[in-house]
Amino acid sequence: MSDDELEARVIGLICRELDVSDRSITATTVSGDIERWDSLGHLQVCMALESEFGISPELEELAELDSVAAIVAYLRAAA
Amino acid sequence: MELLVLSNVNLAPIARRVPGHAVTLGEYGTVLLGLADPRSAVYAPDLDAVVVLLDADELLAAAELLDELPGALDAFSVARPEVLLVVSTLRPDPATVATYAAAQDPDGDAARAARFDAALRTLAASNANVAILDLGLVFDRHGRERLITRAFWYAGRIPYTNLWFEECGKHLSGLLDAYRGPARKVLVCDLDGTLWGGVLGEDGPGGIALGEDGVGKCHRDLQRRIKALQENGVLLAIASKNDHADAESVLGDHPMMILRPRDFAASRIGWNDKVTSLRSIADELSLGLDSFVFLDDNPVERALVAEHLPEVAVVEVPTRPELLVDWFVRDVAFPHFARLRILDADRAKTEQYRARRGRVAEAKQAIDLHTFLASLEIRLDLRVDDEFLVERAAQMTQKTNQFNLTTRRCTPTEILEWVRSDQHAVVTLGYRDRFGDEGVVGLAVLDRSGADLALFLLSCRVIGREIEDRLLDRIEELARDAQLPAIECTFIPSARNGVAAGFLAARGWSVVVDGAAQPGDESVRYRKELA
Repeated sequence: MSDDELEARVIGLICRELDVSDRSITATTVSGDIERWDSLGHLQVCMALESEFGISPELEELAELDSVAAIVAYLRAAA
Repeated sequence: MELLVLSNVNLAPIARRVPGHAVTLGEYGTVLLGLADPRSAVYAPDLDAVVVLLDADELLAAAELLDELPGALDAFSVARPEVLLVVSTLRPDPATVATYAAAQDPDGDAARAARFDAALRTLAASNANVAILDLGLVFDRHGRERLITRAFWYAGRIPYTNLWFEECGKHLSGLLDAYRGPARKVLVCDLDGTLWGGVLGEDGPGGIALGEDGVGKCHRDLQRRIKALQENGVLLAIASKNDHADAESVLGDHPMMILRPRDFAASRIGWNDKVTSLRSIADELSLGLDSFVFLDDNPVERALVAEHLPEVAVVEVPTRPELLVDWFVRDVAFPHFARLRILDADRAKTEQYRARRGRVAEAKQAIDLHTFLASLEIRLDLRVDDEFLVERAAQMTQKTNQFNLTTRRCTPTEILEWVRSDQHAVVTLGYRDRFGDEGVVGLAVLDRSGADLALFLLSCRVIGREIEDRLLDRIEELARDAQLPAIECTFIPSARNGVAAGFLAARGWSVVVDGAAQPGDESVRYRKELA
């Protein structure tokens, strides 16, 4: 999968999990930009990453997955 | 329905996973407080159901809560009889540091969880507004490894993966729907390939697969599940393309049948298309087709019903017989016949309907068969004197009983002689449609020297698709090519070929000798002028 495709999938997943419009999330979005990306929203995003990408982030990694870029980088490294 | 979900852990992700229902979540960890406090959300006036979903390992670690919960649930269900109270069973992790001793321990987690579940059953037996959701449906199907997550538990008190939330939400939704009444009432079953393996018309009553071994057991076990469904209040019916007397004799007399004629509230066995049969069953039972589920192994029949009767639930039957039983429970019983309780009245339902029938009105609503047949994209393969097909041709003469004009049985050697002789033309009919390839399904033999159609048959799997006409066209064409002025055919009635009796007359052949005029001879000699 190309970086663009991966990024688009991640953005789609975040929009769906946080129930926000697809215009509100971009490649440079960080969790602090989005009101619904709070601690519960963050867990739901990470759980969806786990079930959809088959990854299993460690407890201490979860907090670091706090932006589109960080998530894409994590998925790239895990692939 | 409007639901409130209470739990001792964080179940926030379930909120959008109960299809068809609106979910509010109580603050987690406040189950007891919530149930007891008249100011809490569980006493909101427009609530339809309160769902108490408990994490077993957390609950078993909190002895006080475990002890007090049954009493609090009882008090709540009595205080709000108009609200459905759904409580989950406890599924603790059997692996603890007590290792194998845990199973023996009368006060171990397993034993305490079992006592809690027993208290729930007592509660549900006395309070009509209490229902139990067995989490074993989720845990036993998918396994703890795929359902439990530790990272999210420690990060935010969410103990389960998305798979758990999806499965649990699906079952919760199914249970709530069942509370409002079962979705469907009637299961209409096909016979060949469904209630038993094989094709009765070809394999004979002794040749169908139904017994205590192999494929036969797959179908017998399926019958057991269908019978259990019937005992729980579902009406059964038969829609089968088969010789009526043959099928009735299997239903009544085959020693391995679980289902018997009295188990069916209605039955249509014959050569009508299944849409007509289903409509007529609905008429007889005075039930809407939207309460019907249609079970048939044949994708063509399923497509016909799905297209003409969209209100009927048409289920995808697995092609592997060993999967039938699990599939039937999971994909037929749960989605279409889910119920919360089984009452004595349910068990008597079939009898009621059987008693009510009598005015069997034959529904003659003609469906547009031609449009449907065109949509099948049928491709026929007509071959003359193909030596490769000799074995199959001989086999068909041995097995085909229904659509068979002369019921003449032949060996491969006889067929091969005809194939090689100029006096005979052996025509085979191959059939394929968008659902698959049926192989060779028709056979006709023209005896050129005797100007006689010696053999004409069609497998019962493809009766009703108007392909026999193409086979006869080819025979007439070959006869013309041989400069024959006319051809004749002797139709020999048998106990089972009634379906073919009118065929030649309908195709413009005229009767030259009617054997019925002479005692003991039932045959009819037909003639077709070709000039």
